[in-house]
Amino acid sequence: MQALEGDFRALGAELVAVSSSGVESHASLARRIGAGFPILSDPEGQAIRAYGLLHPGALPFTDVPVARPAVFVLDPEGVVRARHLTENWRVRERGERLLAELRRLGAGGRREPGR
Amino acid sequence: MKDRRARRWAIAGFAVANAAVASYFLVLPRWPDLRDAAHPNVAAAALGVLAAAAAWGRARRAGARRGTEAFLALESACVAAFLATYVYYLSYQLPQGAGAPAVGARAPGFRLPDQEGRARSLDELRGRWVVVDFFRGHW
Repeated sequence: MQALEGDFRALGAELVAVSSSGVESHASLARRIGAGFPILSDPEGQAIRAYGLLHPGALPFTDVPVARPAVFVLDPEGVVRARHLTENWRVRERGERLLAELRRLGAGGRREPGR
Repeated sequence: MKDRRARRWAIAGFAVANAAVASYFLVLPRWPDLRDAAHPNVAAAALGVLAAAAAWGRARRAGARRGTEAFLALESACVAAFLATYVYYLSYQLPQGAGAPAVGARAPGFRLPDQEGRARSLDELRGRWVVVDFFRGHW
């Protein structure tokens, strides 16, 4: 996903990643993958809960909230235009597919007049 | 009397089964394509278990001391069963997603610290397309 960061930018789209890990672990993750996009830390599950993704008991013997992997595509008005909820948490969404979807939804195109 | 052939097969099966299971978890974060297609690892682990179990059976028939073969076969079976459970059952244990905002709904806002500890909110990005990726932490 991070390899395609530039492609997302070119479409005028921002990438935002969210997980329940702490800021520290995200800092090292961001260094490792060279991420320039925000990786948000949600240990309390604020956003994870708001998006209906809380996965209780995913990590045995802890009560750390774990998000069901999911991707939401939001348009400039903040409306959900596409969502991908994984059936299987081993498998993650591919960046290439999301880019194609953004183009199909009209990101990066001309703004409609009057908006 | 020791059955060397049975011992060799038991060790080989044990090695294959354990390598198949360990490699799956060790390569997980590195090559997503391998992670998504776990079946070769499961198949290799199953073959390892079969080899070790056959060796155990052979040692029994030969009347040899067979504690080692039994251990190797059972341990292989346990790790292989764990991998299969993980791949085909545990990873499908997900909440229903009924609470997830539907297409066309307004995206719930949030305000959370980024990797540098700065609070970021979804509202900052209003006016742009946003791809929000919820990923599993801890790897």
